[in-house]
Formats: sequence, structure tokens, C-alpha cells
Amino acid sequence: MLNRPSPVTVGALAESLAMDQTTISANLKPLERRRLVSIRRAEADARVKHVVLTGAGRTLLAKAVKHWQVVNDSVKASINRVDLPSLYSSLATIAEAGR
Amino acid sequence: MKTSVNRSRAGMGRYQPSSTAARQTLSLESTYAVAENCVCLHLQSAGRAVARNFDDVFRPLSLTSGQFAMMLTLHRAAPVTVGELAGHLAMDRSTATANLKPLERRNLVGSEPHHTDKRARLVALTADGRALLADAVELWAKGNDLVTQGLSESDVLTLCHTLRRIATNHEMKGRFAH
Repeated sequence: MLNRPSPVTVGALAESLAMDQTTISANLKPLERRRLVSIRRAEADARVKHVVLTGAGRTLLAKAVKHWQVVNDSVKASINRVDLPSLYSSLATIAEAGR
Repeated sequence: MKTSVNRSRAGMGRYQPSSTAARQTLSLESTYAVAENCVCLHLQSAGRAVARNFDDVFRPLSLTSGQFAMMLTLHRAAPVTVGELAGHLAMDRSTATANLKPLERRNLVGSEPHHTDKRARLVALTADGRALLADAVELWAKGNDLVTQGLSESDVLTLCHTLRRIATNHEMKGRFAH
């Protein structure tokens, strides 16, 4: 979610992950300690925090995607090909209704 | 799916940033493709939404959705060990122990030492716990209707079936990995 050209605010990140801001801030801390993300106050508005992936964060993400691919393929393999689109659409309906 | 990723061998231990200049990163298109195809991301987003809804539904009983699931699992004829409870809920034992504490403090769950295995503890619902669970189940029906309101009855059946298949297929693999 953080791999994008411009920084996002903590609020926008929380919104796109459907988490509350305190959970997001807590979950960002270990990533910040490992210098995988950096969090800065916005120049225009000091109350707003911007989050970006660091160079190390982007490198780790690229590596993690290779591992992700293996597990995601194996999870998908356990699901009937016909059921997968229906799973995604049902989960999206539930996630949307619960916002 | 095509992704532009580092060609170097993935390290098995703790991640260390590589010192070489030729680090590769993920393109924006690949990022979107991953997000769209990630079963985990879809499950977690829906899971958080569902948990939040049930938290709201159970609030009058000061119960969370996780506590409800734990009490429902404990509602059986014989007491279970903490390890068995953890297994049923696909949690680790220390998480199950921590989550049992508030229920024990409220006297909804009681525990006693195992008859033969002194290191194990048996847990069961108390009479108060069973009474609260009966009230909670009435609220649960309301919550379940709310969460599935956009889906047809057959959608719900298919969804539950698929989710169960994912859980059972990957439970064993998960155990071996640790």
C-alpha cells in the first residue's frame, strides 16, 4: 500500500486498509524502527503525517513479493478455479458493507 | 504475473539491506497486481470489517467478537486443555492464555489442573459463562445477518465452504513451517 510515487498520510493509509489510525500507527512503529518506512510531518499541515517506504523498504518489498507469490499460489491452488472470483467478490461485499 | 524483483537469492535469516547499488524495487503496476491478487489482503480486509461489526453487536454484553468465538469453542460437554482450545481457534497457546484471562476474571470461564498432566490446564465455561453465551448467540444472529446482507444464501454457503477449505488445507502447512 505504501509503494507509490507520492507519500500518503497515515489517515489515508488507515482508510485503504480499513484499520483505525491508532492500529496503523502501532503497526508502523516496528517498520519505522527497521528503517523500512519513514514518517514525517507534512510541511503544509504539521498535524498530518506522511508515510513513505525507504529505499531499504522498497528493496525488502520486492524480495517479499517473491515469497508472497509462492504462498499465494499455494492458497489459490486449494480453491476451485470457479470459486475464486466468487470468493473475492463475496469478501469485497463484506468488507465494503462493514466500513 | 510478471514482477520486476531482485534476482539475488532470498535470504533465510533476518533481512539485511544489500549494500550493492543494483537493488531492485517493485514497479507500481506490479504493486497493484499484487494487491489485487492477494488472497491474504482480501481475507484480512473482510475479516477486520466482520470483527468490527460483531464487536459492535456484542458490546451490550461487554464481549468482543474474539471472546465470543472463544466461548463458543468452549461450549462442549467436557473441559479442554488450553493447547486444544488454541488448536481449535488456530491461535498459539500464549495468545489463547492471554485471551482467557479477562473471561476468567469475569468468572465466565473456570480452569483446573489436568488430572494426569500437571503442566496442562483444563478450561470450561462456568454457569455464568453458559448464560452469557446464550444471550450472545441471539445477538450473533443479528450480526451475522448484518455482515452477510449483501450476499445471497448460496453466496454465503460457497464462501463458508471456500474459507473452510483454505483453513484446513493450510493449517498443516503452517504447523510444519514453525
